[in-house]
Amino acid sequence: MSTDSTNTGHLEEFSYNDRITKWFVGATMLWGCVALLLGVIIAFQLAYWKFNLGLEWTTFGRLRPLHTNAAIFAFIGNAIFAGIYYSTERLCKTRMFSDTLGWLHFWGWQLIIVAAAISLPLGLTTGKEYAELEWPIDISIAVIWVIFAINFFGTLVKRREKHIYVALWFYIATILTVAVLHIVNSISLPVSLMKSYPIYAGVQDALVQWWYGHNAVAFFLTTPFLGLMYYFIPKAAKRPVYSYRLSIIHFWSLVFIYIWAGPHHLLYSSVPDWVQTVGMTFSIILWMPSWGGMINGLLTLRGVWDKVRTEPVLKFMATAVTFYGMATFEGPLLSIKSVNYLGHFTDWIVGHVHAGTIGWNYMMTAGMLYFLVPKLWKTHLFSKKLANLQFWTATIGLVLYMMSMWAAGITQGLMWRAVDASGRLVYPNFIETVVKIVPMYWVRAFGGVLVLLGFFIMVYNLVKTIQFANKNNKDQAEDVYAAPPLSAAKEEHGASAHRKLEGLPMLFSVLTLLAVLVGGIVEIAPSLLSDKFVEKAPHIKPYTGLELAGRDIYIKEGCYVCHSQQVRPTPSEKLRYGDPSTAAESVYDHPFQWGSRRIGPDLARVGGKYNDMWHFRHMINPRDVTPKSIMPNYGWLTKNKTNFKVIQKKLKVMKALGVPYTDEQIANAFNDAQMQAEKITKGLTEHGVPMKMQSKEIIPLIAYLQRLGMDSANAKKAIEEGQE
Amino acid sequence: MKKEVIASMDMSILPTIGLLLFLAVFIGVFLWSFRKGSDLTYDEAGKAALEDGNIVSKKGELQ
Repeated sequence: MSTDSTNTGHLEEFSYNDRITKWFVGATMLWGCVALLLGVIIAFQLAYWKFNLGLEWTTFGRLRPLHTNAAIFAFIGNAIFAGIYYSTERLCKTRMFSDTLGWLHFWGWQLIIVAAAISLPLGLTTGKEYAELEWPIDISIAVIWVIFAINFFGTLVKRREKHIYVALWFYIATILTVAVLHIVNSISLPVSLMKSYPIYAGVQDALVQWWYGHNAVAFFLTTPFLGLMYYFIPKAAKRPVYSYRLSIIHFWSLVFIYIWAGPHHLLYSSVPDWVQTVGMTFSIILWMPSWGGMINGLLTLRGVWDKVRTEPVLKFMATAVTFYGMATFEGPLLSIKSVNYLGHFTDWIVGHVHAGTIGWNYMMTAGMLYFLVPKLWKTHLFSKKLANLQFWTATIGLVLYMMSMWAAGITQGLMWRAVDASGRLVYPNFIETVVKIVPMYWVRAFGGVLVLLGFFIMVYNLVKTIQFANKNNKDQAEDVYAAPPLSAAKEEHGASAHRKLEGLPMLFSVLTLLAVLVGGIVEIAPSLLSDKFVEKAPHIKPYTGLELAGRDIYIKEGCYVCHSQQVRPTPSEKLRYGDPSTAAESVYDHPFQWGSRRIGPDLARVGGKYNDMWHFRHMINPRDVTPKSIMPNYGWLTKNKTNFKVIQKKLKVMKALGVPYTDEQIANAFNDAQMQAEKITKGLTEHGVPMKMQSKEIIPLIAYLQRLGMDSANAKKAIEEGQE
Repeated sequence: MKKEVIASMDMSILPTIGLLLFLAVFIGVFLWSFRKGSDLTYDEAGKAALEDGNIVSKKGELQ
């Protein structure tokens, strides 16, 4: 069928490309099952370490990034695309700009997901949270995103509706900002086909990473869904949005403020205080536009509240918006420094994130799918009862998830900071604080199973709906619509300036981009342009070649998923871990490894705390040295060979990034690494470890762990000795 | 030179600048959205989501 054809008179005939929406709907269902299943698996892994299965590809450290990537980019990504393709065409009264670009976008995105599903379990990762994919995949993402952008903006250009509706503003903000975030955060220098180092280090990398990380939440999980909310809730409720004026204020405040909030992930870290203050302040301000949006969504349902009880679409969407309100209240609360000190590094954050992703994104997606599938396949939903069953299963599952994580997080946070009257830690052994919350891990896993079951029920319900439609509805041709061309639209007299602006999508896009970029520039640019942020301390030296290789194994195994490397400047942290971390200490860390969760203890000062043999035994079976540890066994580290040959290349790339290696160090990289490995292994042989261990991955990993914090410790010792 | 200038800057001014910038944008957008005679335009704009265009030829049946 032709895309567009001109009719006589003032109307043009056209059809919508619903086939592509159908495929995105299918992909959403498929990847939703995968992402949630992975979530359930890793939830059980924390409850009982044996669920790590003893295989290097299935440990928590490797599957957790796969879960987050699958949930955000595969499941929610495809849901966004389904909703955007469906609503953009209808809001612009035109077919998408190009069917071909649409298919390229669809298949390209699925290919990227498959590449992620293969590379992450193999340990091919950058070690940057939510941006773990390596550089060839990163480039593919950028290309596919540009294709999507061309298709979207092309559609805006050829639209028949003069003004662009509020949903489209949110899509514009999403497409532009995600492109900027992804490109800026992913800039790196390749070492090999699947290994690269980011150009930023330490504090700079932390700032860029969490500017990206927080705004992935903002512009991938929030703004597109607000767009979907502004489209699908009025559609399902059959009434216009509560206040269009409020939507204008909502949009501009939200896109302006959100980008500033990133540093709330770095409170009490070695990031400059003023950056932390800005992050905290803007996070609290963010509460208002978030609730403005929530109120606008909920009040759109005025007069149809009875339908919320009976119609699955409205039931899911009303619940989603409610959870959005809860999550966007909890977020600012957690950004207050003193609250953050309790919640940060604990499961409270994990609970908060899932209130957003399951409560807001999953529920909104379910509502959207219950709306889209019957519409696209021109039929009725197979079973409202099953939809209700899913609603209750998912809601109860989510409540169990959130409550168990609140309990676990607050319990552990309080235990970490508990100091008795004599000034000593009440729970000096970290493992005590882990054992205490393991029961909550079982509750969380059970909650997760319910959420997953609910999703399976929905998929069954939707597949039955589609099968019924395909059997009974033979004519699959697209409907033909008619609308006057854009040129026929009359200038409105007395139109407000914003209304005129909506008629100029490109100018609108530029202003949106400006609003988004201001925050990023003020917060991040000084750190990138000034050396003040990355003060080098003379006693901090670059890693040796072997330590660098060990660091890459640390990243490959996803150690950063459970261990932080950032001691906060408070009495209880000092008692537990030692001196607070300084900016200078991670100045050569490409990428930084500060982490965001302490399922195990902080490692910033672990060097020299235990002997090499302790680490050796700990890697083979953590329970040998730490009874009741929930860490998986890493037996393969004693079997996999270290790639000594690539070390020289690694040093070269690091030097290109500004790490001061001498030419001599680079020339001797191979031999130096071998010598250091030999020395460590010789020490281990005294405890019965065979000398052939020298060539295995466990040796560089031990070298790296023993180096952490040692430069500062040695400098401190030297000063103390000098004083005596 | 550039680095030195930035290094010598008092960074604590930046949060204030940020806050003022946001206040300006917020007040601007707020007042703007309440311009005289905008009620009608907004009422009409709000209805945009509800229309898919006039259907000319419908294929397939609702079961």
